Amino acid sequence: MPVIVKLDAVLHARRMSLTELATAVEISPVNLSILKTGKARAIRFSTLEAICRVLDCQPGDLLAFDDGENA
Amino acid sequence: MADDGVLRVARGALRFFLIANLVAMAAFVLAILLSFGFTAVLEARLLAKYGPSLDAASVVQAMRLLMLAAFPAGAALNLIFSRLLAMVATVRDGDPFTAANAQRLQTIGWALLVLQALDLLLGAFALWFTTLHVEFGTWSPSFGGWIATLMVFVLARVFRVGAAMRDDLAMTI
Repeated sequence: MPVIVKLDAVLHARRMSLTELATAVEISPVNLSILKTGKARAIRFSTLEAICRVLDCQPGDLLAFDDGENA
Repeated sequence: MADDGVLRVARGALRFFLIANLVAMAAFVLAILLSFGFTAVLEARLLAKYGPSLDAASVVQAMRLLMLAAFPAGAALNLIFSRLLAMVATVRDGDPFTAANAQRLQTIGWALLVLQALDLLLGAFALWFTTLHVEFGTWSPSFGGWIATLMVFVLARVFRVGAAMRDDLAMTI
């Protein structure tokens, strides 16, 4: 999928683990892991809002579009 | 999901129908075989009931063909009962909205279509027995059956789309 999830990088920058984020946004670590590894088919606005709130970032910091032509 | 009373009754009834259908098919095999062994007895009984003007040989032949037509009906019923039983099991397990169940519903739809076609054949048999001057139950086309068949095909499609939507939702975070 050309939409890339950069959650791993943002978490690394914030020095936060996936488990800590899962607890903070009240989403299971399994589901967050699916999101982090890019296996999710869609993301709810409510999830995006919760993650942005906890990580103090913008949706654009978490998601990027790359169709391979810029590579 | 809790195994509620309706599911328990449905499972029990479907298992009973499945076995009863197999027993009936075995009985038809036996009846056809016996009809060859006891042709003279059968014809004598028919002549005693309907009189000497009866074409007993043709009636026995028609009876054999009617019993043969029961086999595709039995196969279709077996498909319906077994697929329904599998669907009931998925409801009990709490995951009924799957592509597999959509496929099962579609199979049930085809089986119902076969039964409807056989119902038309039964109408032809009724006409045949009437021309042979032999008593046969009254027959009329089953409009409800055709509507039910169509409905099952539509529901199978609804199920397929629903299962795809559920899969999408399952991967929505």
